Amino acid sequence: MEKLKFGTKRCVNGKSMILKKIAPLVMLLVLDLSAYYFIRRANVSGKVPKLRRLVAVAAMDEAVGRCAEMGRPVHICPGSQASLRTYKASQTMAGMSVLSYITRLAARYGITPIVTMATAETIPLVVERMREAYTQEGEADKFDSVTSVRYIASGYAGIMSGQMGIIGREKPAANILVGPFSWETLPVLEEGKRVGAINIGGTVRLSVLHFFAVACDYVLISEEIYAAGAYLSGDPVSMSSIAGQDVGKIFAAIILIVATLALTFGSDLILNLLKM
Amino acid sequence: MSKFLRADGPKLLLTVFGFLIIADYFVTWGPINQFTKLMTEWAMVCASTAGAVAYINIVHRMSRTVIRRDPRTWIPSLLGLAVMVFALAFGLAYTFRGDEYQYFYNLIKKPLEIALTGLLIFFIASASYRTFRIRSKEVAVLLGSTIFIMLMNAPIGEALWSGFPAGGEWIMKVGNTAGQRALLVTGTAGVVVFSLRLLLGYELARKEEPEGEIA
Repeated sequence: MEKLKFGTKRCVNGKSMILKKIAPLVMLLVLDLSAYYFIRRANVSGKVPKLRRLVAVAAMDEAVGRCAEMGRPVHICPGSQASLRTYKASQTMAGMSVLSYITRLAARYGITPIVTMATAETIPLVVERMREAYTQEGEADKFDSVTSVRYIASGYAGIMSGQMGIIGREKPAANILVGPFSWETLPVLEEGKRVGAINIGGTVRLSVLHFFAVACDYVLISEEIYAAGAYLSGDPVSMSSIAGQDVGKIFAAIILIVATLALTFGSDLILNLLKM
Repeated sequence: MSKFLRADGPKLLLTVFGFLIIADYFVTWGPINQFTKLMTEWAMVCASTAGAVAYINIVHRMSRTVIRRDPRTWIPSLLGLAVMVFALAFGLAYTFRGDEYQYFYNLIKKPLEIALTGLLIFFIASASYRTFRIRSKEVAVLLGSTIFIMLMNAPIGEALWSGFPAGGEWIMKVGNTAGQRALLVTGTAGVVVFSLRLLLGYELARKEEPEGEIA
């Protein structure tokens, strides 16, 4: 079998194999290898990187405490576009970690968590996470999945009107939306403001991030939802993978700076390498 | 059943198949490309099955709500059940691509969605009115750039000063694009690392096993 060179065509046992997209492959390897290194280090030697406590995460404790003082429920949504099948799965799992944490606090303080869902396939996971949270607080018999977990509708308009209706009628004191969302979130956050709830939200989706920035009291911007999910879950693997992400981002930033300087001084070598 | 078949075997399959599918993006080679095509078709079958299970789950949950007569939710659940059954029967009778089903979709669902989408502008206005108050230097800069963008897009901007379109365009092309790309890089890094955790089996639920048990 002939050894394959990058970017060139060779015949391997009569069939040709071409390696393409070298630059994305290098970036992928840097990200994956750095994340794997930190995960292995956590598993073998128990060294877990320390994550900074985000302001929005600290606000979640205050928000749930406020619900307990006022005797009002807490509204949580781990994503109106929650899915385990597409690229939104990572955001959905971050939202689930937040959901587990808030449910534990709700079980501890004796307040009702109301979870609204737009995707039917994630409901069993949500119910299981909440049941687990109640069990960890020793209140397994107090969990009622029919009252707490409510499937609204799968369309944008349906979930928007359903969530607005629930918030308007039940008047939660905290409105926590972390996960994959779309434009329908702004009216929901406005309704939360109208009933006097604290709005805490975060998403990765760029086209709706500005809605969260404008309407939320505390925002988790883009990758902060992964950090929040890892911090709240306390899982060493999740926390270690955040460190791996940071290495990848530093690598990307260095490449950007070097490429920009090279182009400024008339050299397109880095740019050509990135196009490979 | 041995521990390998119950736990390690599925994890190994997940890892191998997952990395082969990733390799398809970087390598043009018949066997890998054909394997990925087959796996994609199987994934669609699994997704459809998941959809069917989700439908059954929703019907079960809504039925429990109606039977329990929860005062807050039983009427919406009953209506939801009725619409689900009707839509399923209608779709099966006329097929989802038929003109009758499209009529039902275009005359009921679409206008309702459009009407609710139209409400968005009022909420944007009320949220902006509440948020854009000059409390600090950063908010002042934000408000200034927002006004530039608004005047860039409105005809009155160019009538007032010819610099508004150029300035607004610079903000969108340089500042806004740079910020968006930074967020895109960080968000994508999160997706890639999560995928790695999934492929290596760290996101799978683990069941505690008693020591020494041979299943």
